[in-house]
Amino acid sequence: MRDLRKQKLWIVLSIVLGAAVAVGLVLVAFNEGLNVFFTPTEIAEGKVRPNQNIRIGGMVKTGSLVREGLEGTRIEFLTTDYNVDIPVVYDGVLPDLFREGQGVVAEGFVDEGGVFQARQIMAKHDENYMSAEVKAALDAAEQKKAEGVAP
Amino acid sequence: MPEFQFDSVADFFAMSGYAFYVWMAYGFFFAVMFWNLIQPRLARRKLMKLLRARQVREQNAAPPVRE
Amino acid sequence: MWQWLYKLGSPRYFYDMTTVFLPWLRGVTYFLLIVGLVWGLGFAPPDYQMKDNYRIIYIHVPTALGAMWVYAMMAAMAAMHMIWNLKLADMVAKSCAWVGASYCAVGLVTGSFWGKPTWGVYWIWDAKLTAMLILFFIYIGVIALRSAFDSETSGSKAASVLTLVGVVNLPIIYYAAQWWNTLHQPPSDLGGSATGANPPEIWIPVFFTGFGLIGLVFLLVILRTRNEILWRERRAQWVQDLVQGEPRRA
Repeated sequence: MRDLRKQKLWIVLSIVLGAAVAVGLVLVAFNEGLNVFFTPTEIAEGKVRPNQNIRIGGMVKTGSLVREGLEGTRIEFLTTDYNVDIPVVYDGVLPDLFREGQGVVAEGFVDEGGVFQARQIMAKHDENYMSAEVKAALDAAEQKKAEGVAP
Repeated sequence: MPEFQFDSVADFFAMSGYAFYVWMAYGFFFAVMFWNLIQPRLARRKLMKLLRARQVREQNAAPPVRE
Repeated sequence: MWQWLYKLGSPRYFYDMTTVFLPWLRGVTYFLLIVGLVWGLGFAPPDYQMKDNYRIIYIHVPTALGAMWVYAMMAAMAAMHMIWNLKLADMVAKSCAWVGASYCAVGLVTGSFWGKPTWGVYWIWDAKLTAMLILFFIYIGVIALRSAFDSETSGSKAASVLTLVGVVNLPIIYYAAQWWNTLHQPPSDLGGSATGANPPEIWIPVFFTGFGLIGLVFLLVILRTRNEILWRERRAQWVQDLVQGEPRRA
């Protein structure tokens, strides 16, 4: 009776471990393919061909956002991973969270000039939530500090 | 102590312009949880009915009790 | 220890015990849920970026985590059923599948309604979202596989094996945003980081809805398991007596 149970325990363990190893190998094999976007560094390294449909992900570089056109829907900005900057051009609807200093994922292609022509822009949110009041207080404190350092 | 964050009821329902998304999400949540709670109750009622019918059938089918 | 386990493993004991226990569980669960939902929807401060849109967090995070957590419980029950041949463990596992699938669906749908205004899309095939969708399909698969067999025992065995195989998916969902780059953010750190992010006034309601929804898991699993017990033990004398004692409804 004891032995039968032990045997069954081994069966259970081998099912779980077997599945883990099999899935683990598949995931390692597909590792890069499971990424939903390329970083600017990867694009600079030539990991994508021009005109290939891809996604790029990084931060919208602070101070790089330019709005063009009378309606102001055409935008240009630099997306950065703090190593390489890639210019992005886009004309269309933006998600509410799109702004400078925030994460962004864009769908489109890199043209021959090395500019990313975006078809769609998605905002990437980080895992930090903050109340509007706290954020305002923090910003005010930061500003005060900055003014104090450079009067 | 936390304060109510909205100035009016209309303000609350507007969810600073995100009413559609917030209330769709909460609506789906409540619908599913409501079903989750009502399902076992209905299943139990159905089961009891079935088991009672079985009992009655078995009683009727059983031969008369011998002394 | 073993004796206690065997006692708890007796369907009749489980049924009698939960009869006493259920009203308390129900009360605590409803209390936690009502406090958490009212607090989260009306009293937690709006996020500085997402404003009131982020209030979806109070149902999204607990249901998505809950779906994974129920799966772990279902897998533990499947293992117990396989190793000790515990009938009750199998009944609990069967109940878990439905509850877990419903939580998973809520996690996916609420996430979708959160994604559209913040990210700009309802859905993206990133590792985290895809793994979560796979969890939902595994739940559906476990339910379907069990019902595909005419014999109850064959169905439970097949469902147990599939359940155990599916366990691999759990760490993948949880760590997806760390292992690969995804649109979905990694899990939040509630340790009170130096930046002042994720303050208690935002996450305390998550704890209420979180524990409330865990309570609801137990409540729903117990309610379903009780029905399952009555069905499987329908020939036992105590069930016969119970059926006779039950007030009739029109």
